[in-house]
Amino acid sequence: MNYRAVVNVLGKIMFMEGTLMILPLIVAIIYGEYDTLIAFLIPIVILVSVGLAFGVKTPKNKMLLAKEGFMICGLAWIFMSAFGCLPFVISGMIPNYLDAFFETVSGLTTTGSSILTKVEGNPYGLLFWRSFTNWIGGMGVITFLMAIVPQGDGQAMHLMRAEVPGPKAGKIVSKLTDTARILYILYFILTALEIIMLMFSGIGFYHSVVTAFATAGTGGFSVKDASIAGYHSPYVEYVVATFMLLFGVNFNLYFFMILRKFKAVLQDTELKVYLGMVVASITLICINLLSTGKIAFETAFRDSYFTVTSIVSTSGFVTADFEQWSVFSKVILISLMFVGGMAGSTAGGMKVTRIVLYFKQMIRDIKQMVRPRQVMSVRINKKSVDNSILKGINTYLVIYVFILLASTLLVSIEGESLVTTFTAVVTCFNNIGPGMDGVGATSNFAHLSVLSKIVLSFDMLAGRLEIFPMMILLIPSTWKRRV
Amino acid sequence: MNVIVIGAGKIGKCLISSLREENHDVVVVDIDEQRVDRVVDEQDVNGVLGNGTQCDTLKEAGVENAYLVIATTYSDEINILSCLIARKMGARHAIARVRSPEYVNQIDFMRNELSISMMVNPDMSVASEISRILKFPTATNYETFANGKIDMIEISIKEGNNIIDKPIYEISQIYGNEFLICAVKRGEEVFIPNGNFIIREKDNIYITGIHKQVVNFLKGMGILKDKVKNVMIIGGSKISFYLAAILAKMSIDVTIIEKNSDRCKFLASNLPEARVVLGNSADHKLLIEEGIDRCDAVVTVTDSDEANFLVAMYAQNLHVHKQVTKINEPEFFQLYEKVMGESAISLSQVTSSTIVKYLRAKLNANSDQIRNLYKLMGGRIEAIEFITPNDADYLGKPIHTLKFKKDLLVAAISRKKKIIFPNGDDIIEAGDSIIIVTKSKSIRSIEDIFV
Repeated sequence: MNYRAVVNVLGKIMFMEGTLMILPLIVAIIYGEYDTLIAFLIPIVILVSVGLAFGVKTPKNKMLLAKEGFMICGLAWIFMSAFGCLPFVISGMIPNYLDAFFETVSGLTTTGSSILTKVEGNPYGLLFWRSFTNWIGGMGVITFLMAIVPQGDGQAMHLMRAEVPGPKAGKIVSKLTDTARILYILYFILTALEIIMLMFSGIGFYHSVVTAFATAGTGGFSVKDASIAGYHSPYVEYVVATFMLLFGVNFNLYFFMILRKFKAVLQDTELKVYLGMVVASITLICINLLSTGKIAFETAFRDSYFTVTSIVSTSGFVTADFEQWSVFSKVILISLMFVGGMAGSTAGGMKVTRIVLYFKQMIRDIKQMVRPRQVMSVRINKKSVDNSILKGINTYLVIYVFILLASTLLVSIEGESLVTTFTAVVTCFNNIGPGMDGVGATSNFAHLSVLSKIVLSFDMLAGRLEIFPMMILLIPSTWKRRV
Repeated sequence: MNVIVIGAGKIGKCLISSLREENHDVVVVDIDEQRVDRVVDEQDVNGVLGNGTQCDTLKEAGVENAYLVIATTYSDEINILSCLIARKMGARHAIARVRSPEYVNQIDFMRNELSISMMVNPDMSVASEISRILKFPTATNYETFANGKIDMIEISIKEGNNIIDKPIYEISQIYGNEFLICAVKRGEEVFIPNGNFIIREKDNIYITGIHKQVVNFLKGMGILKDKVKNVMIIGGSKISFYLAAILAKMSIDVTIIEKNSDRCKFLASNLPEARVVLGNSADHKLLIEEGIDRCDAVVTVTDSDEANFLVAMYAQNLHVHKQVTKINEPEFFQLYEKVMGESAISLSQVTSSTIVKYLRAKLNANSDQIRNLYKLMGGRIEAIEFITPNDADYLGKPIHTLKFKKDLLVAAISRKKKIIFPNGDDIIEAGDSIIIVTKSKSIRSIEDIFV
């Protein structure tokens, strides 16, 4: 274990977070919230000085292997959350440190589960920071680091791989720094586009920006108590829903579109499945809603469109109280929670590509039973998938289920209903936001115990980083100097 | 620049790291998934799995926008074919690694009719590099500039040498200033020394100068070795075949030890002057029988780094004056130089510096400027020879008024028949050939040497 190099990269990330916090500070100044300035200044000073102390001097041995990559990734996100929650604590907006930590983890991992019982009325600067964490976490902190500080050859890939969602991290251009920059530029353009679109609705610049941040990261933090429903504007709902859908798409595909490789985009299996799944879910839920005969077609369509895109992109914005929907619709939503968005997007969940591969593997193995001697390969996008990747995603599923059950068991000590317990874990683990029943669309996570909040925080991080970086931190041998 | 490297073997990998040092965008193509994965892990490059002779694979690697395609697989035919296809698909330049002499002889045809820009034959380059070192056995490395008028040699300073603990200005007072100590390696560090730099024991130093002066200097220090008259080559690879042919022309006696009997037959029938012996390099009794201890030099060029290393050590132990060893693994390479105090030759390094030189010259606006480029001390120092243009603002000014980059030294100026080892008052004129030594790896043109 090369501790020096690990500490160095972590130092750089701390410095970066300190600099990013200047933005909400400016917002606070603009809105004249001078009593909250100190809440930003203290963490900025801490982060910047920690960053300068550890991140400036590059160690002699810069070698980072897979283990260090995972470790840095896991620790970076924990530290980011641990320091990122300080403004909430110092300002007294969320006086309890653990609650603030939960909120920040939820923000950075783009989950959007909140412990705030009342959002409106809090200072603008702090709420801006809360939404901004969604945006930072969306594309990833290490990717951001790559985009601004080029890392040496032979070490960067391990870092990037640990953070980028999906079974195989691929670079879209040869250099990692350029790849990270392209991703962030795309991310930036899409976010700006949403801000402009939202401006037309007349909800104002501040609301447009924070909503766009939360959408871009597929986070789902809203500055309204009633989430997006609080704007009472079908236009806003359509815009947000559409962008949630867009941010659930693999960013590489946008790059292909810029390169005018439309054929590659149109033929992408994952995209087809993703869109197919969304359309099918909307249709089913819409019919289901209409069958009650109580709502008009437009409302039913809008509610189902919004809720499905919100869940599938793992954003977790709310317009309709789906608590009131039929069990059939709810089961569709829970299934979507597990699937999540596409690999290489800002969404959470298991990712469509894994689901596709599970299905294809299943079909292959069933066929294999009948024709034991035939050699068959699993193909996606007309290319055969290597067995090591299949093995990787299968292991992932096993650990995924294991963590899901273990967390559910721990949260069940709480004594809430089965649906509350289970969906709380599912929603956190898949980085969605609201669960059902006690943690549903109109409730929040404030009433949970300390243990549950710690478990759920872990789940959120594990979900965002796709389990392995967090699991590796739990293995004692990781911390040994040798091996 | 976008560069595609086909083949992620030893040469491919070394080439990729040189290209990355030059900050090119590299895509590597190989048919072995594990090899692609490893390169992508170790270097900041993109990998494409597939055959470099297939249009689809090349397309995926982005051949339309590639500036250069380099094919380095084991097979000449695959390399040539890949280059042909790549050129047709839009790559600006293509370089093929070609091992068999038959193809190398057709280079003009390949360049003019098939538009392959260059063919590199690593075995051939290594063989000629070794033959050059054998011409000057005192040096652990030997390069020439300005059409052979200026020598650049590397020597290691061993115990008892009379320049130890002396600053460089004092050394030139003793031995004259017709040569220059232009680079020093001490332990893991490399320096571009100034006049006050003090030479220590176990340093490796690079000297530039006119051949005669350099020889006098070495004689003065009492370390000049006799001319090599007989050489034992361990391993009957392609390198050894080329080398034996060159050495035969220099009328040096050659003994080749090779363990494969078919290969021995081939060598014996094609190299009438050489003595070919069937046997294993690990068989020390055989080596003694064949007179390894009475050789002037032992060249170890088998496929195995370990075997080369061991035999070279064995030879040094028997007081053979000169060992030249081929070592490919970079880590091993440094270990060898450290342990043996002799230089090793790496097939991949020789190849990659040839290609990097080519690429830099091509990318340079006035493309003929770079005439020679050598990577010294494991690639950490570069010696570059430029031709000055006809018109530039630094011409005609005394050198001490020009501001050079840090860790950069103008080692020599060759002007028509004159060779100048510049001090502050000398000037650079149009059409000069100037040789610089630098730690910087970003010198592309002569303008880059100034601040």
